Amino acid sequence: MSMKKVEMNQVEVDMIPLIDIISLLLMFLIIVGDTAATANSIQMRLPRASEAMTDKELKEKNVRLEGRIIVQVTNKDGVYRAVVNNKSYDLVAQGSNKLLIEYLDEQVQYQIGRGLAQKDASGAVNIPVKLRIPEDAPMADVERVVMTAARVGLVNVQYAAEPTFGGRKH
Amino acid sequence: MAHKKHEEEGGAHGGDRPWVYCMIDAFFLITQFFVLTFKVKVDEVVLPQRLPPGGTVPSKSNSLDNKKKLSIHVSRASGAAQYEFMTKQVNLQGLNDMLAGSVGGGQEYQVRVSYDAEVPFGDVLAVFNACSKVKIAECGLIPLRGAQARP
Repeated sequence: MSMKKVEMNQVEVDMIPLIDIISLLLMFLIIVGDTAATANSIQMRLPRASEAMTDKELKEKNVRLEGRIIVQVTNKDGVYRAVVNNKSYDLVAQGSNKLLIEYLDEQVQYQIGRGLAQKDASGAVNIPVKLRIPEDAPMADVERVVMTAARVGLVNVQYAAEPTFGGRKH
Repeated sequence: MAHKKHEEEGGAHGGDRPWVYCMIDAFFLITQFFVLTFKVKVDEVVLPQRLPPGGTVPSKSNSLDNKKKLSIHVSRASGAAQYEFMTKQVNLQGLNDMLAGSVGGGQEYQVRVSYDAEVPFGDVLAVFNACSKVKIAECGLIPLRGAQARP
């Protein structure tokens, strides 16, 4: 027992290369990883669209992204609900959920009040709304989300999709 | 691991710098956290569309725009999406071809999509995608009516 202890005392483990390797691994994971996005966005299977564009491509085409409102649709126990800023709302026929309409209208009025957005004569607001909807969501529920957005004048809709690698024609 | 080594060595190094072991342990924990929560960053893409006036958008200017209206109905038959365009039932490829053949400058057109209640969103987004291919930027939905529009 005492011999073993003496032998162990003589072994010097050099921690510096280990720490170097782990530092590199850590840096890689922090840079490549996507922790912030997963915290806010609900995991779902989005539909594929070959014409869909990244935010960078949209900016190049002068598509407005500033002040974008994100509405997500999630399935909880077979019932689809809308989620905006981590708050969940029922999907009501004709898109008439008062709470959701009030919340979206509040966001729109805030941006208009600060001069960040405009409403035209037809009632359309130039704020973009990104809709994250699972590909298997029935249209009966999807139209409720779209109608709710339309009710507050949010007509610039951006449907979230999965990128199709190599399928896009430029 | 660091603590065990520290104890076995009788605090020979730890006595000099005991904080090093805590630091290494914390470092391992942070690394573990990042390894376990790691997910490759994929840039989500979006398909921009403008909802046309009328239909889903309450607007007074519906009758004023001069755009040509195209109607597409989406349904499902034997587990596959079916599209009705200009009274013809086609699949997605057929719809793409028909749109490409009949639409010249997309800016002059406006598409209204109707659908059955249980049609999955993916089938309708495929229509929006086909419209984007022929540069039609205004795609709206015709809301369900009657028995299909459940309360």
